Amino acid sequence: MKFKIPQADFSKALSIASRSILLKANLPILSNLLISVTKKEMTILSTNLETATKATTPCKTEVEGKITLPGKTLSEFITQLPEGEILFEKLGEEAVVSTKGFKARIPTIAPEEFPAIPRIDKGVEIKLKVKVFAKCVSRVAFGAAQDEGRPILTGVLCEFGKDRLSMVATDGYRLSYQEIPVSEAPKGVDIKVVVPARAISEVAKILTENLEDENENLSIVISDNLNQVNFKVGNIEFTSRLIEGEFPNWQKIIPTSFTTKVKLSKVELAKLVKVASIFARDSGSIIRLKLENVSGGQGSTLAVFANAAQVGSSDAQIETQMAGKGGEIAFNFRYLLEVLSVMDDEVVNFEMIESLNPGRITGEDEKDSFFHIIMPVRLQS
Amino acid sequence: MDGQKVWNNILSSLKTQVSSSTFKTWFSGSFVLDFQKKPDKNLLIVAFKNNFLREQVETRYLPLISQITQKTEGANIEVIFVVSSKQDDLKVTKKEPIFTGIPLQHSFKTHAVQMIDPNHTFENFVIGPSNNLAFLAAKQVATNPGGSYNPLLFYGSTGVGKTHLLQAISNEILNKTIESKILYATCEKFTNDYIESLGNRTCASFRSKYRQVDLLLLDDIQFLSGKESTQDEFFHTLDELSLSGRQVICASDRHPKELTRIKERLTSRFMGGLVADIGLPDLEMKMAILKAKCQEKNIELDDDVVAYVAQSSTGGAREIEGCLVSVLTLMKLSPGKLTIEDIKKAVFKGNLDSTSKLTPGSIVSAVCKHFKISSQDLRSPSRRASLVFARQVLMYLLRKQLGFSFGQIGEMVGGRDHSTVIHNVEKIEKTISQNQVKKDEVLRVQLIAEKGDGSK
Repeated sequence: MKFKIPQADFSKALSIASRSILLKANLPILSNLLISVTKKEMTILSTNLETATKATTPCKTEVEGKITLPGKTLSEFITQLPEGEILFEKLGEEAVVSTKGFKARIPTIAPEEFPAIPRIDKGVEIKLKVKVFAKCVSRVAFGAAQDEGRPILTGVLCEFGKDRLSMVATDGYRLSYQEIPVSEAPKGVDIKVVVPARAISEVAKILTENLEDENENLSIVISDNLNQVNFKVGNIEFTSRLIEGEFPNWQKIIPTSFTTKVKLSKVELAKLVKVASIFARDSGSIIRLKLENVSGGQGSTLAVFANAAQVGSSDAQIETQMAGKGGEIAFNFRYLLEVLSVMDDEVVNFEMIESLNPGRITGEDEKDSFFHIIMPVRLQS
Repeated sequence: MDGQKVWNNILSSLKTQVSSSTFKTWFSGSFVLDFQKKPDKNLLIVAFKNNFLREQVETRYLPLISQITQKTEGANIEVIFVVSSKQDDLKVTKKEPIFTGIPLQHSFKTHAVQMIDPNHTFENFVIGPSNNLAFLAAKQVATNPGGSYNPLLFYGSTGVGKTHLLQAISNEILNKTIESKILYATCEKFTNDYIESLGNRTCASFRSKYRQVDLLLLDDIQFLSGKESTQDEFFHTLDELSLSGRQVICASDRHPKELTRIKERLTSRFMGGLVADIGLPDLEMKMAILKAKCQEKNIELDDDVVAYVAQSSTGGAREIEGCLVSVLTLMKLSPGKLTIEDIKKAVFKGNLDSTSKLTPGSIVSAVCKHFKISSQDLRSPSRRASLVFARQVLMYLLRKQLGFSFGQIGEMVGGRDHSTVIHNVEKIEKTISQNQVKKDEVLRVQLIAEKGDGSK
């Protein structure tokens, strides 16, 4: 096996394909990349037995073949190399990678050892805009549970309808929801799958980092037996398993209407929460929000409090536009900061009912389907 | 034949043919989903966690597996691989309500407040004649810290709820006013912090930690005994806090007057505030405690069981809970209904036996037997080293196991003075806390006394 490839192309393909590498694997082959070269192109493949990533890029082939070698070593080496053409050659059991002035010999493992990646024989294909998809994932997937205690909650529920896709993620304390349009789907499609949050975030990351055309379409293929999903755009392919089981009935917990609503500048709100978080860190991350109408005058204020026995306390407020009677509610500040960090609106809406009902955060645009629900913390007063 | 057994057989011979990491990676999560017997051949359906594993096993290992299957299980078995998660995994996800709609219970995780258990509240404190005064005082202080009784001191033997009350006060205040600074510490922590501050020359920060709080709760102050300079520090802390109208609450295992080696001025400060006694609960109260605990744990117990457990546990609430736990464990382990007799036999046997057989006589004879001396020797004025130790063990056991007064013990060991007895008991306590061999020896004597061997 022997081929030549520009450093930039090789490096980019490696950075994509190394996404699924398992660094601490029992089996050394899982921290390797499979590189296969055909007449015109080179394919790099990695898998961690839950997901697989594949990147294809053209190259000048001299001898076709397949090889596997340690992904981390190879990508680190290639990214450090100067621009120019790289010669990749298999000599005995080693791969020799060289360019002007640099040369590396890396041990390989036989390509037969590399796990087979399951293919989707029959499935449903749905197409949607890459940019819209990536943004939706970034605003939803962070809400999924981190711990494996309830496996189903570590995933993002994706419901594909005839012209829309809705995504939901929750960890039991907060919930993120958004709906996006689908550009192309078979008639009468109605599929519900739960994609691991980590996998779908990886996809979004790869896509945003390698987006070439604003209007590019992402093709999603879901296998008929609902155990695997494949994302494909251009020369990048990402495969993931799906999480089995039934996603809890999340609509039930969303209040149908809220009694108090404020419009806030996102930056200002984030600032208030961050200031309070300094004092809340040592007292269970609890901050209190108080919304009230200014007595006698016009307008209203939002005040954010926090305190910790040894650290001290803080009290910060801003003027706001409020509709409703106001009230007091306490949250874990991390949840607030996380949702604010994924929103790119300048103005956000915050809605609540009573101190023990969930609060809701939505974006500036009324038509934006995104909303985020946070459960409050009980405070006796 | 059982499908899982067949698969296990296959796996065990497979294990010898591939590397262990390979085996672990690909086969460790597999299990048999179904074993179908058909006239021409049997189908063994094996499930894997996900498609990646299944695909790999099917493409790479199927030939090897069929070969093994033929060798070990005969020709008529076909193995089929599918993807499925384990049954019980699915159950778990279905059963639990995910988004309960109930807000998170807020619990403080402050560095210092951390030690306060949010479950210790006034609501779940069972009130009775033995702790009425203490409870009312605690309530009063929680509603008006620094105002009514300052300092407030609870005393009572172990397990009667001193710590519970202390923490209930702080929880109550924390819930009411989120801004108040509360510091809960055990006396041991106070002492350690003080010593540390001396060593690191950080007295200023130590003082600011303990003197700039609105409420200081100090548990187990009997440990101040003998620590003179810590007592001084505590005395000044107490003065500064109470003079500026901030509340100090302490707990101790005996009345401040009975605290040994505590400076007079400290004792008088305590006496100047309110000293509330918490006694051991009476039967009705014990039953109430048990019922409250059952409710907390969401279980129902028959009234006669509750009454029996209440009767048979002699100590405070902690001991009652211990008894309850063992009864519950027993109920969980044994199928069907348990009679009181069963509970008596299984749970309290050890308890009752060990305490019932100890008498002064059995202890004396056990000591004699163990040290190979006569009971006259114990009473004699001789101060031979071996005799002295034996006498100390005797005094210690009489004091600790039977709770005799120092004077009584003095009588029993040949009319010695009660201060001699105090000294000796303290000395041996110190010895056995440092010397494992001596400790074993004391335990062995105790064991002989309990068995009653010594009398024969």
